[in-house]
Amino acid sequence: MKTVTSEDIKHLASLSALDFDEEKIEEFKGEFESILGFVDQIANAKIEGVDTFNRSVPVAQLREDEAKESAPVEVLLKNAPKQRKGYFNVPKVVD
Amino acid sequence: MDIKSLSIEELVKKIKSKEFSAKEVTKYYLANIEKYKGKNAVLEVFEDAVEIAEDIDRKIASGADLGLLAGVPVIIKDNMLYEGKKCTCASKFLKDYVSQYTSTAVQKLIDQDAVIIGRANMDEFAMGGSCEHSAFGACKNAYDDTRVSGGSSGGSAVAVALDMCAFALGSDTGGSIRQPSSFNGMVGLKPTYGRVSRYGLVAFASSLDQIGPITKSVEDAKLVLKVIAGKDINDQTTADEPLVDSKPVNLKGLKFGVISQVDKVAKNSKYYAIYKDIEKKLALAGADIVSVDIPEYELSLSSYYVIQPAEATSNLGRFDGVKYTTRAGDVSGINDLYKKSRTEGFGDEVKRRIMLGNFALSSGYYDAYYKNAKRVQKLLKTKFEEAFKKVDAIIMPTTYGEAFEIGSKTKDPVSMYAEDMFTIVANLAGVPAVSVPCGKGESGLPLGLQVVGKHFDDLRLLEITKEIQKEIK
Repeated sequence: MKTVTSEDIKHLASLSALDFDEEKIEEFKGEFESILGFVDQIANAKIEGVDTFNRSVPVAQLREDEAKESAPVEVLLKNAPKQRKGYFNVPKVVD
Repeated sequence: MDIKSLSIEELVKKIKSKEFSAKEVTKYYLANIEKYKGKNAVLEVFEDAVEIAEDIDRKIASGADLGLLAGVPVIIKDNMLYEGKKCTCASKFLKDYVSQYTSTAVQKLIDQDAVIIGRANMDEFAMGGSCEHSAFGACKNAYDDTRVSGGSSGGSAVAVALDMCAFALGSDTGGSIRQPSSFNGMVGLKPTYGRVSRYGLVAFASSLDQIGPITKSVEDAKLVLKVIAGKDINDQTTADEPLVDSKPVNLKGLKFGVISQVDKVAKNSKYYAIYKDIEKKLALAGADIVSVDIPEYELSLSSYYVIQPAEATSNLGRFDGVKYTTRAGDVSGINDLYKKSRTEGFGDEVKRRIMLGNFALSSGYYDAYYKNAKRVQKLLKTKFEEAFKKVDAIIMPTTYGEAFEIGSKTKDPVSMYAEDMFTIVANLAGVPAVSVPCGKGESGLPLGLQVVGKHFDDLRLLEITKEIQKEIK
């Protein structure tokens, strides 16, 4: 993906739930080309003899599966931009 | 009241013995925050700071036994939750977000009677190496208003350098504690991955993020690390590894590694001679300087700029216009709500990284980019483990040079990314690394030496670093 097209940027924007106007698309296109130019090094590298899913971070220890009280709904909803009757309020999703 | 020259331990002693009151000390730092307002290092001073200090004074007066940080004023990076206080990650998206609980690291400071006095400026969501990507304006270098503070924990480093707090907490994903510490002449420690809980730290790249102290001295860093380290039931990646106190070390007979692939890159720095001179001084003090080969280092920058955005894009998926304060108006349906809220709320650098992450994770590219980068991350960890069988510590520059000029790299993301050249490898390998001041550049601004240690050997790393500092002064 050395040449980045406007379509590529639009596709990535859509995967990212972002929206860009034409001017921004042009700007991102150029930047992406130079960024990919340097991260491409990793795509072209031959790296053998490593198990990818051998974790590179310490293996987590599991805790006992005990039911505990969690934060109350009112607290968790405090930062919601819109709420109703103890739920997040969003525009209609299903007709 | 000479507070600036005191170590944290001395400050606590004087507060406990009532030589200074905690209130006086807090007010001293608050006055400096006011004095250096133009630096834009502190986004908010918490209004209850003086009140909390008064509480500490009352406890002392009552003869109660106080903690290791009794009355010590601290500034936290604006990506750590502190219940009831705003936490914005320097993003427009979270400008009104109020923490509903306290992060483990901050709680541990409070448990030792520290006074949290404010939150520090940073690059938005910790994405950047200059603090210019803050939605609330750039933080300027402590010593030069035309230069960057570094990033992403730029506000934290400048706050310590200009005596706005006794120490600060930062977070480090690819150098975000060490690079700004270097640019402002401070000591910045990125502990071993798994040493400090990330619970309540707004997640950026979860396999790389680590909280650590920015302090005036290595001794202070040691004390703060002892307070914030430890296994946490709320962060499954915290390790059950005791923080072992190190015996005093002697440079004589110690082995320092210089990674030959790093050295090749460091040759391009105009300050290369300063680092070679440090090696000479260490050798004169009786240490051995050994060349270490880690060929994967050459792939570290590109691996990092795949793994980090890939993890970031997943972590930032939660900012959708439904849960966290910001929602765009005038939307047609749920997908439009997501899109508009994110587009309005995030700055350009955050958008760039989200897009890059989605590129690396998308079908057709995942194997070549993400999987390969994870392979390099794994290999680097093994190679560092092997290296530390032969050497006690690895030394290298923290950055190419002094703090650069504000605006000089914002138009060219790749040159900004290259700023992390010497720091990201410690995050990828998970090893502890500390930056300490080691001289001045041609504009008279600080340079930093980075000392890298073995996994979970954080305290010995600091002990070794203290000895190095004696030689390079």
